[in-house]
Amino acid sequence: MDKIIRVNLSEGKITTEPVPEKYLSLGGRALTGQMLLDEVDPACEPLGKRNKLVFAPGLLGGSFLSSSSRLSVGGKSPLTGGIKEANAGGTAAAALSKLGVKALILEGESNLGYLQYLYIDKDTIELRPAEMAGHGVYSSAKLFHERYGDKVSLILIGPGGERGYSAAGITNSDVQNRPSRFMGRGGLGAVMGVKGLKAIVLNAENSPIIEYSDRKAFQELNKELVKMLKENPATGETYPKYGTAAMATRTNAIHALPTRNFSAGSFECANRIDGEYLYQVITTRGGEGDTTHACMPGCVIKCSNVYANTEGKEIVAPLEYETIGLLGSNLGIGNLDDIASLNYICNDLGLDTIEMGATIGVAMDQGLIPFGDADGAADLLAEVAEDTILGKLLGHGALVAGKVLGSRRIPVAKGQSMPAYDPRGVKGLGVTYATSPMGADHTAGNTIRAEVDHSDPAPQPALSRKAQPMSMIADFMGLCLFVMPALGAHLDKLGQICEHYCGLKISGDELLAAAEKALQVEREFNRRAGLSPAQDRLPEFMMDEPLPVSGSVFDVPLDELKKINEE
Amino acid sequence: MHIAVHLHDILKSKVEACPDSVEGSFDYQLPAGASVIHLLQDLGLDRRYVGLVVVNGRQAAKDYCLQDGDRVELFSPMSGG
Repeated sequence: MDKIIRVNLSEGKITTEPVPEKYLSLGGRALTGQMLLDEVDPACEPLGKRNKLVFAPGLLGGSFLSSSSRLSVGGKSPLTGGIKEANAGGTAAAALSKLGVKALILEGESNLGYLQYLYIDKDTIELRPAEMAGHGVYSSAKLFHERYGDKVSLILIGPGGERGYSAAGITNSDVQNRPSRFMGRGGLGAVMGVKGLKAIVLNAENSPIIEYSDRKAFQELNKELVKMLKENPATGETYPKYGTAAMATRTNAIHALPTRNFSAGSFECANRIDGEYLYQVITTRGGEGDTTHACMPGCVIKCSNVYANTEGKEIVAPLEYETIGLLGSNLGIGNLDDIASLNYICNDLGLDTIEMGATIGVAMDQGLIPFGDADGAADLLAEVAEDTILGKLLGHGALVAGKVLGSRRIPVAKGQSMPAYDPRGVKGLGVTYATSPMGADHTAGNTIRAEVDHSDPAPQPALSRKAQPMSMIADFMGLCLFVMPALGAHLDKLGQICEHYCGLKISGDELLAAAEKALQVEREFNRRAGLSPAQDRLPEFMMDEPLPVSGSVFDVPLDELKKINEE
Repeated sequence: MHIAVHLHDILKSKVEACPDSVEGSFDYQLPAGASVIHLLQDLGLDRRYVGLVVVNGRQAAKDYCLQDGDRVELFSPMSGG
């Protein structure tokens, strides 16, 4: 990974640059963050030409260590007004790594009046007109694969991103070329759309084989790490069999499952949307359904799935917990077929299912349609597809829609919707929602695994403070967060495998220090963007309205929250 | 004392005393004063397989002292979705 590709959409100019010394030891979220701080005016308009979008595989990107090829994308977020990184599994990070690309920067904005896509192979980097503009994600991907074959990997936006909707994400291909691995959060799809780029086509065929610093040592350590993953109950058994959907039983049991616009914490139909039920439905129906599916090549956890209808035809893949929580229980919808259909619609429009689930939840709460009305939810998404005024309103996410609709119960932190953990039930994650530079983001420091009383406010700031850099380490290296419970106690080994791959000598302590520094970089960007610890808080309804069953409010003191970013 | 045990997902197949691996629910007898840790030991359930413990609809610690009539739910650890 020896080059940076810079695409200036204003000028239609593409340059390839060597990687500056200061970026050599960075990857993924740490690299996108540092580049944004170095190159972007933090006070810029997120949807203006001064914002940039940076794609970067992690330090282990393209290696054959399990779960190590997540792709990070960073930019200033139209939702939070601060720095944002979103990442996903899939195949694009490995393709970029094979093409020798450490980072890909999109800057400026096109004034051509039509959308383009970027084509990259080992000899060519070129902007080409995107005649699939306006197409949904699935039909666009089909057109690209018809043209370039099934070996290319795609990074892609849908109509939502093209129109600059704040709820728009960026997707990439899975191992079977489904364009459904979303870097969903923060509205970064809108940033790509307003720059005039529909897609990036990565053709890594005939690229030179990636050279390992010490392949034999890598193989040896890889065996050891894979053994740890397989022997860990979560990564070896629960995730592979039941997938992320198994979270629903747990959050429901501790009254943290978003239900009817974050008003209940437990859902009477939880056992119809959880991991065990999902497993049962997929196995009973057979056909194209699959309970255990890898989102990236070589992953041994395989927590993903393919969800099929009663005829065994695929509805959507994957169907994940966050989507089930936001488009399911949060809308009062207790039917997996309905949730899968809504998921597909959001995917095709290129919209984040978390943001859209929260948005529709607010709309239901304000009486646009009743809770539980899956057809009504699909109708609202049809408004988004048709780009009606109501559709535009919803496409800009829960905060915008909630304000216009007169809601005072908008489940956001720093303008971004909360994922599927009510912070009154998992208060440590509530601290992360409030204090992470990312806004409400479950991947920025999830405390759910800690053996503490999740409703007790006392231990939560310390837990979140510890979880945030651990998440950064995973994002830094391109690792899936799910490996961290198994490997997180062995940071020296993660450092070693990194050295065997790319020659970067880094100890566990240095890795942690680098992660802390990367968080400081993000905080500094946000500070210069005008965000301050004053915004490190949750909506007041969550501080004031007890969840009916548990009686819990979000009561981690504001002073404690402020302290986290003042350290 | 008598308690009701409910095992979730992978834990159902880890306990021989669990009569129904689909439902995962069964009644169980323990000496008075037993904690959740004692329950896990008695069931032959490796402690690292158990993350969340919920007793009577409330999260409980593993050293929680069980009471007659308690309903105990056990979950394997997960780190998020």
